[in-house]
Amino acid sequence: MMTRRMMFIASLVAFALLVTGCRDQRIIERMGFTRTVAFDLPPDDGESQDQKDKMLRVTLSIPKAQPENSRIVLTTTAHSSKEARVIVSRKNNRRIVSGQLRSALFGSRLAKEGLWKYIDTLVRDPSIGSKVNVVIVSGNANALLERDFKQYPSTGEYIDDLLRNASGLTEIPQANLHTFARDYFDKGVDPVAPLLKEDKQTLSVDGIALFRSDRYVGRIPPTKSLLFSFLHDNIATGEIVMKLPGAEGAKDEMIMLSFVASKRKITAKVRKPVRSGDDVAIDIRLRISGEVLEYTGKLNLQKTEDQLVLEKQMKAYVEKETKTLIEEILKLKSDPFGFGKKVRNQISYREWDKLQWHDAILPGVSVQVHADVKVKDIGKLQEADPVDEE
Amino acid sequence: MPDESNRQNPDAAAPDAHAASPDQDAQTTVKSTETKPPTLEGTLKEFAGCFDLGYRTFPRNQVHAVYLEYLIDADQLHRQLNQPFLEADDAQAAQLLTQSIFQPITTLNESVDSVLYGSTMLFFQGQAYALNLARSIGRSIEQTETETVIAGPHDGFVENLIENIALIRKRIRSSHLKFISLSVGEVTKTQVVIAYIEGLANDHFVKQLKTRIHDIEIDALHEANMLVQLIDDNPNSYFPQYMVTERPDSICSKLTSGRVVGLVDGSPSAFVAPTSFFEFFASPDDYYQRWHLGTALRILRFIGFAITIGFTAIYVSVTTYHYEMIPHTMLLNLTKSRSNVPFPPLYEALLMETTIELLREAGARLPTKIGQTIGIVGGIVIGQAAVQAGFTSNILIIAVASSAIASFVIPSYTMSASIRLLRFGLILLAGFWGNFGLILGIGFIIVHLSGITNLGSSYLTPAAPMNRTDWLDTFIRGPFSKLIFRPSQPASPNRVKTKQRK
Repeated sequence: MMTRRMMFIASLVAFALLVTGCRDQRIIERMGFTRTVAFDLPPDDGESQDQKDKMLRVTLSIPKAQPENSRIVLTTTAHSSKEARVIVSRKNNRRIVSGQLRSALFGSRLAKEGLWKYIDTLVRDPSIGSKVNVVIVSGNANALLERDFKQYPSTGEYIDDLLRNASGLTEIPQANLHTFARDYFDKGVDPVAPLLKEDKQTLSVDGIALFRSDRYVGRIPPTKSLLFSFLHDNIATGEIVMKLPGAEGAKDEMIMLSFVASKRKITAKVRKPVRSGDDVAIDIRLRISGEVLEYTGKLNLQKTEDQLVLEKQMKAYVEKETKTLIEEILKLKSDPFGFGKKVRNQISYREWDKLQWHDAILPGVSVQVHADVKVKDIGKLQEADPVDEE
Repeated sequence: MPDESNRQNPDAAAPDAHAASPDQDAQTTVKSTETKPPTLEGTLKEFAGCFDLGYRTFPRNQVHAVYLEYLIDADQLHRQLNQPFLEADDAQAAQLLTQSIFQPITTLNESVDSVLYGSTMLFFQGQAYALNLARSIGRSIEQTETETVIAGPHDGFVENLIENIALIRKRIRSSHLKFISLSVGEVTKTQVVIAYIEGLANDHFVKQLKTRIHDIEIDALHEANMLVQLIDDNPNSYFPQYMVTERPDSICSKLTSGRVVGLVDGSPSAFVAPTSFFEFFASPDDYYQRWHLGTALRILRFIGFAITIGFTAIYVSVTTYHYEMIPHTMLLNLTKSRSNVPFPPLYEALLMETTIELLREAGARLPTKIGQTIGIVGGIVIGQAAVQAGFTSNILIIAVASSAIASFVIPSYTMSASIRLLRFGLILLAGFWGNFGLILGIGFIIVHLSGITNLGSSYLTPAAPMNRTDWLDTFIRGPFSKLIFRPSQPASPNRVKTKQRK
């Protein structure tokens, strides 16, 4: 009796194992893992109607183990990204899978029309991690991914490393599928993404892409990107070069702060009911501290009084620059800093829902920036005590 | 033998014995020995056909001595038996036999047993006496081969029960240390000794262990590891349920923590009851080093456990199903090395694991010097060549090797062997069902572990039932000042180790 039952169970288990054993295997050497994918519109050169209907041009970059740093690049035109994968799979010797995706590139022309439907498939696919970089390419994304950069390892890896470096230096804010989807769905804040562009021999970070909802609307140039980062996030380390106006007639003084840490605090004052931008006053407090590694001005940094003067100059610089930066951004009707969230928190959701935040309120919002810049350290160069000399 | 002339050949004695009771067949003899009076004839008859039987009489008196020649100490025999009795007449012999070293024996059964355990049986005027002259047989105390420590005592138990008991007695100078002697095996009549410290050990466990050992029905018992399988709560379980060790220091610490210990004659291993799963990961070394180090070592062993059961299985499941989990930098190397391999990862892993087990088994069976050669041949030649020949991937070699090495971190050989076998099940599950199978397998192991009991106490103590105080001496090795309580599992009536002076 017992043995018959055991036999039954054993055969059931064996059956289950045998039946399930062969399904859905993904043995690594039989897979082609897409490392980087680029989406863009097909180029605008009198193509057939069929081409025009298929509005998406997809490039996949699949690294190969041998020889080193080699890769397979496949480009196709399709209606959607998954269709593109199916089409490409028909050509490739290995099954194309997206579980090792690291970066998704979007052409700026495509991004202007809205990215969400492409990001949606990426977020929906459980094999794709949420830390996949979202990158906007100034220019043609397909062409960028198809190009090989002789001095660097394969383009996919180059892009990943470049982005990691740049965001490590707080040149660009972190932007991946998670942050993009979060900011897209969250009301009162818009996503951001880094911009890349092709140079003659290299790629380069081309600043930060601003969005209104999922549409690419404007760009912050690289020179302003750290200022943007001060406003966008608390940062732990970064480098900033400030051009302070020199004494009358003299050249501008350059000062470079290293190991910059900053904290930001945004508060909103709302006069209810909110009808226009005038009813909202945003106040931003920045606390920035850093180490002076380069200074071309006249002040003697070893004197405490001079340091205070310098701090005041830098404070003025930061306040002025961030204010113009914010005004420019607000003109684009984009809200990357989440002013809307602060406002939303102070009024009822029904009220917020009725607001035309991007179109009616945001451009008229008044913004005040209070910066507090501290010099932590003046570096290794220490001259003899100036007081003694005098 | 000092007096050759008086020594009779047992073969010659046997017919006499037969003549005394010609109508008894073997069956009834065995049964009736329980109550039969101990007679010379009866004893000689039992040992008929044993060439090592010594039988002698003394010319000046009626004393007959029966003994097994090679079990007893010839010196002692001469001093205690031959010298006094050769010169004694009947009256003097009777006087001599009143000494307490001569134990009166009342049944034939006892008399036969006494001879078997190394006593000399003396028959005199219808009375029978046993004189214990047993000689220590076997190797002398030396280091154990399986459980070595770096700092700490190097002596280990030997096959000789007497030596082993002496080792324990020498370490625990307490009259509360009790030994109960039992015998197991219908043919071998192996002596089994239960040791415990009165007042520290729970009577319940002592009684239960005694009953279980008493109830064993087996013809022959050769080893403590064999005995524990006969008294398991869960005989079909995968895991060893009694901790078995060859280290007297470890046994003594178990005794003082209130556990019960068993020793088997002829076996250098002693077993401990009740035992929990986590005890198999503790080594006496932990207590001989600073507590930080002891703690680190314990944690290391648990990591080793995880690596042993999981590493190869994770390799299989990741390369077969979950390529997403592999870091990108490793992925290309892995693909490169896998692309030469003709088998799917499951077969590849099973093949390599089997090879490692073959190496290990071959190494264990061979003498140490050849064993090393096998290790080198196996490790270098097979490891290197297998990758170059495209037989396996090099990452798998790392996985297999590190899980094999990690399995030897576990101090208990029986536990480490169990875990090594368990690995194969997990590899199969990982190959069939990926990470789902792996988690399923680990789930089953945990469920199974939770069901095991040892003398009725939970095998997973102190994780289930939870006992935080025990954790201090289970998952970590706390400083001695904090180890105030005895472990909860043995349910010692005296939980406090030392009443600390203020």
